[in-house]
This record gives sequence, structure tokens and C-alpha cells, in this order.
Amino acid sequence: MNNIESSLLVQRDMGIYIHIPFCKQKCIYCDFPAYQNLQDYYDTYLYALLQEMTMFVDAHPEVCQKPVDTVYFGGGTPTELSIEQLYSILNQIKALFNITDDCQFTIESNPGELTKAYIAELVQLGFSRISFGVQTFNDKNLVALHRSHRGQDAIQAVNWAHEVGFKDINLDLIYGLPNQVIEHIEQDLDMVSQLPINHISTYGLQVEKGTYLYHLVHRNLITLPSEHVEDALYETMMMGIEALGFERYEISNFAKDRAYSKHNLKYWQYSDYLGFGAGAHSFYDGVRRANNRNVMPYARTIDNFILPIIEEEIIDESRAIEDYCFLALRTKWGIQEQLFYKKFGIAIQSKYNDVLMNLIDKQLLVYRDNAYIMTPEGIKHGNYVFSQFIDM
Amino acid sequence: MSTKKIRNFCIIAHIDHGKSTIADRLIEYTGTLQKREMEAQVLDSMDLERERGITIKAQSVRILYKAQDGEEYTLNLIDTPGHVDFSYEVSRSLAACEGALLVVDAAQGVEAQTLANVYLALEHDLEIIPVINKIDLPSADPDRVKQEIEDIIGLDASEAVLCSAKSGIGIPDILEAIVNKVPAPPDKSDEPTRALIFDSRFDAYKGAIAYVRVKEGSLKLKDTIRMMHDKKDFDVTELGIFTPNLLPVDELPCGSVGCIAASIKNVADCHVGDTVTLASNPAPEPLPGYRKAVSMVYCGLYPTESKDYENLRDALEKLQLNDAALEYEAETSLALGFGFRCGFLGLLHMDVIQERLEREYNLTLITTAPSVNYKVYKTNGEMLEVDNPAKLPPPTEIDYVEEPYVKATTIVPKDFVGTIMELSQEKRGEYQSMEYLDETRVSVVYHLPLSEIIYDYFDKLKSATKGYASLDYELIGYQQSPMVKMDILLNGDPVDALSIIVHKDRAATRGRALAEKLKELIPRQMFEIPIQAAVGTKIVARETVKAWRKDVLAKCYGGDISRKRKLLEKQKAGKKRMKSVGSVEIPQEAFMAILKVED
Repeated sequence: MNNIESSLLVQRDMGIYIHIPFCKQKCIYCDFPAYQNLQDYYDTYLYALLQEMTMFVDAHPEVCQKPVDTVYFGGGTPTELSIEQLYSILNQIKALFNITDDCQFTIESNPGELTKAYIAELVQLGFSRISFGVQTFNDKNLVALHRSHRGQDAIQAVNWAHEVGFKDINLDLIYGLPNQVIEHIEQDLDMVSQLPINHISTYGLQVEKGTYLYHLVHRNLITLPSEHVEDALYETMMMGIEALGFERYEISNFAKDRAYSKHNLKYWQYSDYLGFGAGAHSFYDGVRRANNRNVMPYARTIDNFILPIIEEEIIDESRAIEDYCFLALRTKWGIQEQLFYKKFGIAIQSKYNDVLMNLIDKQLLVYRDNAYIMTPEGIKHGNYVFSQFIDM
Repeated sequence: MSTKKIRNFCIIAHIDHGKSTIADRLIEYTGTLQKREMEAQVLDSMDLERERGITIKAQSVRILYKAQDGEEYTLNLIDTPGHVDFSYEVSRSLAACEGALLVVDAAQGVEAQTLANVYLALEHDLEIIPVINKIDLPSADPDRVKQEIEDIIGLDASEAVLCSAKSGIGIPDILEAIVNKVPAPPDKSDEPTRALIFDSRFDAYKGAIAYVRVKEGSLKLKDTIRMMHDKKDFDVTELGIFTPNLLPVDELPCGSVGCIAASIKNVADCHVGDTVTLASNPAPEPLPGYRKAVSMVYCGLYPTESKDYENLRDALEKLQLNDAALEYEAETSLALGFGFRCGFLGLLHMDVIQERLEREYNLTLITTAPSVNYKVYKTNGEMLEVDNPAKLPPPTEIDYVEEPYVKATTIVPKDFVGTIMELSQEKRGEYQSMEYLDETRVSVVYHLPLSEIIYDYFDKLKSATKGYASLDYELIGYQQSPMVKMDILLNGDPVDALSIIVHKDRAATRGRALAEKLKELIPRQMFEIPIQAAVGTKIVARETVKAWRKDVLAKCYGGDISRKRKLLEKQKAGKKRMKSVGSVEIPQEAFMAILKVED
């Protein structure tokens, strides 16, 4: 492992996540806190968001000293907000927290909804990384998902982002769409190969309860690919992305030239992160917290000078070990023996020898360079592997 | 003391027809317990009993009642268990009574379980008082139910008591009927003492406690008693009656019901059905009807976590203190590790024990398919008793096999005789006799392999006769049968805990059905799992569980780790009841699959 990588593995700095729960149009598969037609509440929300940060800092004064090296605006669609609104959030972050010089600022957005001028202003605001929810370049599939943009919009948006100076560009791609066949994935990959991007996140379409997609699938109004086809789509996608020179550094994340998403790595590497906004999650000082995901109750709670936290879990030592393992395994670095020992003061084998041996036996895990790492087969059965580390 | 003011009775009812509620009301009405002391349904004390609505261990309670004739009567209510597995226990409880309340739901009418126990009660010459309960239900139809009681059971229902235990209607009428109709116990105070043990339980301080009905003579504190069948003597340390809390007394006179503590260390020395007499003046003969509890069904009980083995042993030991019918010994299985082979009275008994182990002792268990005890005669002249299919020797070493047969007596309304015969033939039964008990009731006797009874005979009997048949069976001996061992191979490896012993002519059908069932029960795993049923080296059935292609939580939204973890915990919880055998994970239900197979 080279130095850049090993320094990534022992990050000490925090991340900040800002959730903007607004969309022009909600995608049919989406079960995130994201709502359409709430334009009238953007200002109210913004005010609450700024207030939440102040209140959190008041409650944890020491937090201002901690270096923050990633700031991530996610959604929803953060670019639903105006440049001025984004500016006020960034201003608040910089005023309250200790932002490092090399801090990576990322913003998510939807193709087809932005002008080139707006994208250029994002760079001016200090964003260096942009993530586009492309999902697929196939127009028919986009229509089926109720996405408002078309393949051509995505190509244009990426090119504009590159032209105005975004160094790091990510695309989200989804496989397993209704009526999707291998050729569609190959076409998507062909498009990707022509674009100036250095990061891809890819997910299988999941049918979550409560979504419109769920309704359609259960009424037989939409047919998802058979398991056999879905499997082939997965293989095509994974192999295809790697073939384009991207490195699979996490189960569903790929980067070129080590352009990893520094922020997402914090989730897997057990670092602290603060989440602000409706439905945002934090992990700070051994406590996991979740905010109310509904916009108005979120804002009202803050209006009453109460933090909008609806779940709070103190992570004890044994729980921490379990979480650490199943999170670390998601990355290509796996569970590093020495890091584990440094963090918990025990050897991983002393707790998990049987589990590890059993998983190695089943060829789901390998032991390489003093680390336990999932095999490709292990990744496919990730849930099985992860659940072995949970003691109930 | 005269027996004239004693009434001993029990309550016969179908599940849900209100037996326990009526018992509660009788206790409450007579002030035996204050209302605040009443935990609803006093008699069914085990959680499990309350939940399943069945009584597993009999209990009893003494009720003092001042009747309309101005006299105070002692009414002893003896509760009875209600299932064929416990028919012997039921018969002992009935033998302790002179009368029975027959409770029938005013809306639902006469049902199966009612009938089975009524027949038993009639055999014991009990005076039966029909009670029609729930008469305040909108759908109640007491006249139709009276007619049913007369037509189906053949009892005079013209004086049936109408009541609603829930609303307290008719409770005094029931008490009066008990006083006026149930005969007083015969006064045999002068004869040598004979008391029938109708139940027993274990108390950590007092040892085994015998619940008895004094039939003749009497019992006094400090008497030396003798168990007539077990031929053991004990000194009485305590006598008591149930109010329903234990109230110590100095004497249990003739006709009374109570309990005896005599420092009996083991419930096995205190058999239900045995007769208690006095060592100083023993009765010449024990009371009739004694039957030693015999294990009919055997299965393996294994902890899913091998570390729970010692806990399971402790739990079995404790349960056995109260349940002399439970047998166990250590065994090992290649697939399941260390566990116990356990013997039970029947399938319900097995279910109840398994549930109690899981619930009261917090164990997670794998239960293997039930088996009977076979006698295997080997070519070398040896005889082996085999109650675990995995232990059946290879065919080349077997000369012949004998399987246990029972005499199965079924009592049914006459319309179902054809059905019973058809079913019994199908289950390899041999017809013995048929007898009209009266105009409506027929008793049909077959000799049947016990294995067929435990397999699904009883369930089929119930469904084929709409529940109206009652079944009682007793072991009569062994008969030679062409039995073979059927192995189940998962992923090419035989899983010993899945083996069954089956009649050679049925091996193929049952093998196919079992393989199909296992395919349903074994969840998809990371690789394809072939399921094969084999007799010797011959594969009689094959199915495949397809591989699970992918299973990963790809999406992670904004650091929501708790949600991910919850999903993983759910997945893990699903696995908890699974046992890894080689590389295959087998869910608990799979080991019982044979019972769920249709053929």
C-alpha cells in the first residue's frame, strides 16, 4: 500500500454532510427524504439548517476545533437551491467549523436542471467535486423511472462541469432497471468511456416499501429483470467499469487515479461525520444520531430551540467492533489487522477467529498483506459475510 | 366423617367452550377466592396451557358451597388434561370423580374433543350433567344444541343447565345440579385404605407430591404409606387440600381429594394411577386401571448453539422432576453435535416439552423427526433396539425388523365407520372388531403400526371425521415389517439427523414428498444444493435448491449505518434457528419436514 492510501485509512478529520431534501420531481424508486413541490419552504428550511448547526456547536463547543476535511451537499437535489442560498450555508460552515485547506467540497445534482453558468458559480463557491444522478443514458429507461432528464442532458452537464473547472466528477449509475438488457449497460459504459469523469457509484435498483415503484411492481404494472438477467447486468456493469480503468475501492464505488470520494470513505472507515438537515445522520464521539426526516417538523423543532434528533444510539465497545468490521469490509482495504489492533487494543483473531476461518474456507474472504478482504464472491454475498460479524 | 356432603366432579369441554371460565366462576361465586386473587382462569397455571387453551397437568380445587337445602357441601373440582397423548392421565382423573359437567358452546354445539372425553367419562360410569354455555351470544341456539347432545351423545339433555360463564348467568344452577345429581362418594371408611394417585408434581422443598382421591379408608398425618405398584413405603409429612392454595390438614377422609407429601425424592416413585395404601394395614388389591407410562415417540433434541448443551441437560432434568413420562439420554449426531434422545407419550407431549424448554429455559432447539422404537434382529443373532433412524445397521447385517403395534380404539358416530376403515387400511391397519355401543356410537378396533399413528393418522382421523372421532391406543407388542432406512443427502453428504425409517413399499413416495418439502424449507444459499433421498445406494428422489446469486446492501445513504445494521441483524436473526451441517445451513423446520409431507 502506498502512502496516499495508508494516510486515507487513518483519517482523523471529520466530515460534514448537508442534506437538501428537495427535488423538482421525485424518482419512483426513491425512499430518501426528498420531496417535490416544496419551493415555498426553501427559505424556512435554510433558516432552520443554519440554526441547527449553531445549536449543535453550542451543545458540543469542542467540535469547532476538530479539523473538517470533507463537506458534502447531498439530497434530494442540493442544486435546487440558488447560488445565494448555497453560499449562506457554506458561509455558516466556514464560520463555525475548522475547515482544512485541502477540504474536499462535493455537491450532488441532477443533469438537465442546471445551466452552464450555474455550474460555473458552484466552482466559484468552492466546490471541487460534483456528482450527477445520471442512472442511465437510455431515454426509455429514464422515462420509466420518471426522471426528468434525458441521456443527452447528462452528457452536456458533465462536459460543462469539466469545462468550468470541476476536477472531480462522479456519475451515479443504476442497473437492474425495468426492461434493461445487457446491451443497455454496454451502451451506458460506452458513453461513460467518452466522458471526463473519474468516479462512478453504481447500485442495483432496489424496490423499497412505500415507493411508487413498489406499488407498480406489486400491481404487476412493471416487470423487473429476472434474477438471471439481473445477475448478468451486474456482472456486465462491474467488469465493464473496471475495464475502463476504474478501481473498485468499495462495493459500489469506483475511482480513477485514486480520486476516491473522501467523504464516503468516512462512513466505511469509522471516522466522525456530522449531518445537518432533515433526515441527516451523524456519527460523532461514539454516538450515532438521526434527524427527523420530515421537513416541517424538522424546522419546527429547531424553531423551539431543540435539536431535531429522533434517534440516538451510543455505540459501546463490542458494538463498535462489529460495526467497524462490516463497514471496513466494504472497501478494498478490508479489515487491516494493525489498524484494528490500534483502535480496539485486541487482535481481530481473538474475537473473530472462527468467523474469519469459516469465511476464508468458503472463499468469501482472503487474508492478504495483513488484512482480511472480501473476494468477488464475498462481495456478491456481502450481507451474509457482514452478518457473521454481528453477535446477537 | 360421612361422605354424604362430598361431590367429586370434573369438567369436560371442547377447547374454547368455556371450561376454565366456568371453573373460575364456580370458585368466585362460592367465595373460594376473592376476586382480586383470581388471576383469570385459575386452573390452567402454566403459561403454555393458558396460551394453547389446553390443560396439560391436571389440577384440582376444593369449593365449599352452601346449597339451597341449607347444608354446606364440599365440592372437589378435578381438572383434566384434554388430548389423546394424555388419555391415560384423563382416565385417572375421571376415575377420581363421580360426576362430570359436560360443557357445550351454545353456538357451536357438540365437537370432537367433547365427544372423546364424554365416551371416556361414560366408561367410568360418571353422572354427566350437560351445561350449555355462552347462551347470551347472539348466535346461541340452545335448543339445537340440546338436540345434538341427545342425538350425537345419547344423553338426556332436557334438564341441561343454561349458563353464560362470562356474564355469570346460571352459575348457581350449576352448583345446585352438582349437589343434586352427582352421587356422593360411597362411604367405605372402614375398609383398608386405598387412594388413587391422579396427578403428581415436584416441589423443591417437599419432594414429589401425590394428588389423590381417597377411595376407601383414610389417610392421616404420620401414617406410613405404601405405593402398591412400586412397592415402596414413605412417611407422610404433610396432607393438604386445595383452596386452591394448599391448606394443610391432619386427615384425608374417605371420599376426599387432596395431596400427600412424604419426602418422595422422585416423581417416578409417585406414578399416576398407582394406589396408595397403609403399610400397617395394606389393602389386598390395588385399584384397577394402572398403566405404566410408556414412551411411544422418540426424537433428538439438540441445542442450535453447542454451548447450550449443559443448559439443555439441566432443563431436561428439571422438567423430568415434574413429568415422570419424559425420558432422555445423551446422544450425538454427526450433523447436530451433542444432544439428547428423548422419549414422549406422544406428539403433543413432545411439542409441549419442546416449547417449555424454549420458553421457560430460553433455549433454541433443533428437534429431529419423531420415531418409534424398533427391534432389529441382526444376522449374527443379536437384537438391537433402535429409536434413532441413524442407528439402524446396514441392510446386510439385518435379518429382520419388528415395529411396535398398537391396539387403536376409535369411537365414532356411526356415519363415519366407513371413513375410519378406509383410513386404517391405508395406514397398514388390521381390522379387529366393531361394536355398536348404542344407537349412535360405534367402537372400531384396529391393530396399527405405532409409526403410522404418530406420523399422521391422528390428524387424518380428525379431519376425515370432522373431529368427531375419539382415539385411544395402547401398545400391544411387536410385529415383523419390511422397514428400511431412508437417508437424505444434502450437497452429496448424508445428514444423519434427517434419516427416517420407512416401510419399504412407501420409501419412493415418501422420499419424493420429503425431498420436495425440504426444497421448500431450505433457503437458497450461496451455492446450489442437491437434495437426494436414498435407500441404501439407490436414489429414490432428487430436488435442487438453486443458488442465491447476490445478496448485498449496495446502497448507503448519507451515513445511515444504523439502518444497514438493522437489516443485517434481521438477516442474522433468520439464521439463528439454522444449523450449519457441512457447508449447508438447515433451518429447524427441515428436521421435522417428514411430518409436514402429504402423501
